[in-house]
Amino acid sequence: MSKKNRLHKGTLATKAFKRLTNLAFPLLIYSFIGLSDGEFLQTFLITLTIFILLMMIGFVFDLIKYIRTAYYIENNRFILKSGLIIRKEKDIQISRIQSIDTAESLAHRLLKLSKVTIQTPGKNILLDAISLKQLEEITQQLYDLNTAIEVPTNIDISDNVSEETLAKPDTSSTPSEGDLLYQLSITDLIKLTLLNTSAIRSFIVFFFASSFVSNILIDFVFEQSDQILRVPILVLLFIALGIFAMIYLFSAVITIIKQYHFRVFSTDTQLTIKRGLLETNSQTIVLDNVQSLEEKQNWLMKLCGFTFFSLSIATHEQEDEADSNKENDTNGKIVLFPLVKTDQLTSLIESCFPEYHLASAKLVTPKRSIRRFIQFQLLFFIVIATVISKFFWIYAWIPGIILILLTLLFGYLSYKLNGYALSENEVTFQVAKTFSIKRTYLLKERILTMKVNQHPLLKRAALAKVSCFSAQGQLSQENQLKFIDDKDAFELFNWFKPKNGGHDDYESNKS
Amino acid sequence: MIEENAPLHKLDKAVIQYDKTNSLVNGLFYAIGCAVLLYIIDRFEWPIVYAVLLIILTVFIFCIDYFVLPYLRYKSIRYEVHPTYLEILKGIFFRTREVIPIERIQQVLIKDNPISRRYRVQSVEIQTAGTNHTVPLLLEKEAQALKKGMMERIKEVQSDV
Repeated sequence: MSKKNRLHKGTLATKAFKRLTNLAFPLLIYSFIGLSDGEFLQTFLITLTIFILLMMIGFVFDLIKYIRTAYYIENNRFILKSGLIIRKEKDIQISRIQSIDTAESLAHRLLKLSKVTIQTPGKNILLDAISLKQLEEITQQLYDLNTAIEVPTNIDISDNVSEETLAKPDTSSTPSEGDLLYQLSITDLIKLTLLNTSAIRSFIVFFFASSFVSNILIDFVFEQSDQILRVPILVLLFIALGIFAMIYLFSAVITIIKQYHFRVFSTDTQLTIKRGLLETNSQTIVLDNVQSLEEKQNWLMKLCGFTFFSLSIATHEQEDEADSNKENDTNGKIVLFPLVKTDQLTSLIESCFPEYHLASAKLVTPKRSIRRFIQFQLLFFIVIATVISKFFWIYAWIPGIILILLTLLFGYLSYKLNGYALSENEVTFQVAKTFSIKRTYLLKERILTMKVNQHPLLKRAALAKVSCFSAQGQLSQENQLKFIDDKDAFELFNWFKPKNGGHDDYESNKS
Repeated sequence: MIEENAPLHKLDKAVIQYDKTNSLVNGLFYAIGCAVLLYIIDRFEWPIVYAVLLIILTVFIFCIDYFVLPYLRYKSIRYEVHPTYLEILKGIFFRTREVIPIERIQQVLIKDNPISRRYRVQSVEIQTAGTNHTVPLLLEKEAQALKKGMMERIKEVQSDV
């Protein structure tokens, strides 16, 4: 049994830093509310008191947690004991460790600490803040016990490997992070921001939500007040453009901070993704754990010949609370190539996922399905827009018409683009969204279940819905093709149904 | 097409009685809800026609739930355990046919409640790495046989997802 170790004292500072960043935004908003009421000093003092109180309470909890947390190695198991009131013990079998991932927030970097996640296929252990020396010791110990572990690459362990360890046949070389498969430059990150429609969508939401539009712009247009129409329309246009530029600039800064130096390294068994300017992340994905691949392309990206690529993995337990803000790993979805040239995608995928073919989908949605994609949404928007226009806000029909047009567009795109492709072991689902198109690639062996839905009205029109589920995070990802010909739905269903598992085969095998 | 080569196993007719008892219990909740709404109608002196409509609607829903749905449910559910997969067909109006490969199954649970125990009726819940599936309204011996059959087949297949 190895000696029990505590986390680094700096964990108190990193947790306080995290709490500070989490609390700052809501408290700032609260202060601004006070500012608008004209009671700035009073609100500021209240905010400051709440802030200090919360920080102090948090610090006491963190201190107790720090004192009660210990990790050690015993009988080929890595054990973490923790808990504020109830003592929890979590252990993982060292031989099942797949990788040791590291992440460093700004506080971690200043204090030369690292946040470490030790991953197995079943569960993970998270060490919130340990020194680089501690990390080195842990990885060395674990590496000695299990040569299959991917060692974190922020530290060059090989420099510190003892002669004795080097002499062992299986541990003679440290596993490298692999070949560089993909990276994003600053220019790519700016391109990524420009091609990402989320900034445009934020602007549209901002535009309609702001009272400036509802109270001033629409009045200008519809009341046709000559006095204010001549100059202010230009001014308003400038303001709108300014806001638009600001949103883009803000998105660009955020993207650069988060995705700075985004690199993907590949070995035969795993991929490692590294990124981040202030908070750096190194994440390992074991290829055997990949459940599906997904390509998403918005219309702007399509026009410029780029695409966005992600993958899904299965996780078997809840991420630790301290790690829940790991932006890249929400619900088991991991961004692999945030921006990649469409013509380079096949070769990239071939090099790390040779079993996938990424077949193009055949388009299968019949014309009689179009109305089914849109009928309920249209009815909903018409009723809502009419009611709001009549009783609450006279201009509600404008966003109403925009939503109706978008719904019509969605119906047309679903008809034009939805489809699937089948090969012996792989299926491609292609589904249109209003502003993008999503293609999901699944291996038959990774599909959990497949189901076909039909009701009498669909049956009469010879249509059906087909859904295919694969593991994603702790739950599942559903890929659904709606309103396709029932023959196509059952082609998919029968493709998935095991061929050699029917009763006839079973009986004949038995005899 | 969804009914073509449907799974072989049908439910036992005895489960209808249990389903009807369930409907009676539901009816009790409808009655309580109806009474609360009637009180509100009376309290705020809304037109009496609302009360009449409410009573008619409650009785209608109860009748459908008691006299019609148990028979339709009994007829709608079918399942079959093949050597490598489980197939379920169910749904009265929205028909769903699903295939669950045995190698994907992680857990098989048998569920019951005080009323179902009286009628020896159980449901079997099948869990995979991210989905749940239920075969409801099985007699106890059918549920046990289904679970046993699946567990045996799961042992034969190996998978780590």
